[in-house]
Amino acid sequence: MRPRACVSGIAALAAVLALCEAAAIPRHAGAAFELRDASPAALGAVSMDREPHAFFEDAARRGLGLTASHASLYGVDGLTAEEVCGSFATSRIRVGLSHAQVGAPGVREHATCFTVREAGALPVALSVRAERLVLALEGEPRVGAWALGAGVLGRGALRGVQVEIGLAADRVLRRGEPGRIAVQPSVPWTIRLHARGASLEFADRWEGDGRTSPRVSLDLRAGGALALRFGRGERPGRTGAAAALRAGRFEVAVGRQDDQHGGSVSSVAVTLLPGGPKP
Amino acid sequence: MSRPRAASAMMRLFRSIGSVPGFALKGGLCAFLVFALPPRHASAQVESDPGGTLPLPLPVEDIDSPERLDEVPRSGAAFSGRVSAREGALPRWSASAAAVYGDWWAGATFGYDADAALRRVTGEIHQSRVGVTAVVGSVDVRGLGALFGERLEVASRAARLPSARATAPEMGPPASARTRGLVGAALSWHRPASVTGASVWAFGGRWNDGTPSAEPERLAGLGAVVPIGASAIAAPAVGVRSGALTGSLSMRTRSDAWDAGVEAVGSRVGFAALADAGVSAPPFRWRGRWRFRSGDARPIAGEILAEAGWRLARVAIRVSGGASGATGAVERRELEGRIGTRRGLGPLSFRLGRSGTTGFTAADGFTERRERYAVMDLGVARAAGRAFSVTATRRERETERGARAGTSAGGRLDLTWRRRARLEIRVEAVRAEPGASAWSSGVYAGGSTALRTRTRSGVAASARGEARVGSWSLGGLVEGREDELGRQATAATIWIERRIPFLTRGIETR
Repeated sequence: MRPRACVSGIAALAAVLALCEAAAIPRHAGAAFELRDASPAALGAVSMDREPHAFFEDAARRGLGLTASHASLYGVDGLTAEEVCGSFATSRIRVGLSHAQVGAPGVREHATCFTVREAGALPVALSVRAERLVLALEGEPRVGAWALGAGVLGRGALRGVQVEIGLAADRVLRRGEPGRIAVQPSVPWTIRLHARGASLEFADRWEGDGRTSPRVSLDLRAGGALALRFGRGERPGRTGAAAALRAGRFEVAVGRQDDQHGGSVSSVAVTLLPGGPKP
Repeated sequence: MSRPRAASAMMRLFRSIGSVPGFALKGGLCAFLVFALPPRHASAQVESDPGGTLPLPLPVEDIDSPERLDEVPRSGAAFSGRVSAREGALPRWSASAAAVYGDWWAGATFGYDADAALRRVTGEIHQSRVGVTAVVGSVDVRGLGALFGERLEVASRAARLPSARATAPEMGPPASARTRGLVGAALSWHRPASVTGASVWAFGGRWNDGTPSAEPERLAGLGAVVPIGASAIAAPAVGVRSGALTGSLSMRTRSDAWDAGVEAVGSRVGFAALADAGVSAPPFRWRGRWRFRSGDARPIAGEILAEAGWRLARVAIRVSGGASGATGAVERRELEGRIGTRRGLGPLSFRLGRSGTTGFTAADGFTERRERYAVMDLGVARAAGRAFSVTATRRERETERGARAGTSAGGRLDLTWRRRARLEIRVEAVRAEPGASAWSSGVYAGGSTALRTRTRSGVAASARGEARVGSWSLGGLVEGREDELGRQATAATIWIERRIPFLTRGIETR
């Protein structure tokens, strides 16, 4: 009965995570690790499938930063997502280490990520992301996989508006158990337009199986203390909103995302910002 | 090659540069040495970039000799080796070596297939003072007149109309493994120290079509390039394949403002002609091409190109129509352009087109296929040693059941390090609806990029790079692709090369 329990557990988790994205259930009957981030910043940008942009421009900050977030998924009892992230920034490089778990009691996906990205306002900035993905089923040995991705961010200007275009090769290299870990490569991209006090972002994620989920989000910043984010996505239709409040080196954020099927995700995050010069 | 001889060769190079009159000419020569020798990407299309000034890649099926895309330029190589692998297996490898002694240059190339069987051997010798080159073994003859090559059946029929060519063909070993080709000998004489001077060439041997059942056929060719005055050149040629004679006469002339060329071919199949003419009156440039092939159900093809170019923008309109297969026709209308900016984003290169293909088959009767397509490349940012650009393509095919679209989106990152190393990385996601096809960028060992047709969704990543240490250079190409069903395909090629500076004598083996 063990294999059957294992398969049904994976199928349950896949169904739950498919609900999170309200997209098609992955073709392969395995954990797809499609939910990458359920923090308020991600919910506001209706982008739980990628690492979101920060609420504030923090390029000038140096030192150690910490973030912890908790999300409640779709009102299902016990279905939550938690993440702890530590980062260290210098003038040239930013290193991040995070651990996230998502699932219900007895079925959990764990993702530990190590990210290195170039800091500062470089015209072309590179980043590398290594992930350890582990599927934990109660009563079963854990199975895991390694994934490696990379990204590039280009900055330019168009008639006074700062433009950032980012493109990533997400999880293009993978090693692990193919039977239960059904991680697929994808190409997420963003186009971000910066103006004074506001940013408009167009983003999409092209999956290996042809799925896309275009989205647009708007950031509004009232000075350096309050930031609001509104998002709207398609395939599936979803709406998000988030707010972040800063006081000194502390930031508190809340966010919520609702989809066309009536499901909602809400989360809260607390951040200890890096020190150093403020933007 | 010993150190004193190498030093002497270098001194000859410097003395040659010193003897070139004018700072601009020296600068141009240095720029050629710096930029033209390494493999070039995108703009180095093989033979068939009709506009000639717009750098977007072409579909593979529109390129005259797609097999040449994989050829690594080996100008000045004293030693080169190359290994190709696909799906973890080692399908083929090749190696070549060359030696220089005074005005003599000699080289040999060996090619092996997967089971280590020797598939081809080529020997070359060149005497630079007299200008004679001899090649024996597996010989690749490139750059014959377009119609002459077609009638001799040693070149594929180009989908796009080429220009008439009145130059001597290049003859050497095949740089990529292929089953079809000539086994025999080739001999050429070029007037030394002349770029457009007179030359005489000949080749002969047995031509293998690459099909196991077909018997090799006897093939021979003879031709010359004769300058006529200062601005015109004529190139007569004759060829024989299995006893069938083919004759050709190409002429080309040019002035500051205009140029024109014509190629006329007579063979057992019938008469064929190709003519093209262009006028350049900045900012405008016009060109027309016309082709006639007797024996075809639709013998006429033509193309009109109008181009306007300013410092920051360039746009071209191309309208063409011609035969497609035995009974079909293809029409194409294209708008191609490049918009640059003084700063910030850009340049933006684009191609918008519409094509229609008609045909008639006994099974389906009259068939018609219409397609609209777009290709875009945008430079996002550029910094010291780095450049990032994004690309996108879309093909939309009109069918009886509605439109079917295939799209792709991705990016390209170019990294360079002190002109000693360069790396190009591409990532693309492809979406193809059922019944549709999409384009994705294919990189080739020769440095070019072309559009490949995909019929399945997926993600593709590729990297191509080269590094130089002294006179040695090491290059590699890796491609990986995974489709919607999780099927993976990988391919890799690496090459190593040692160069010798004998370009001063005007020798170029490729």
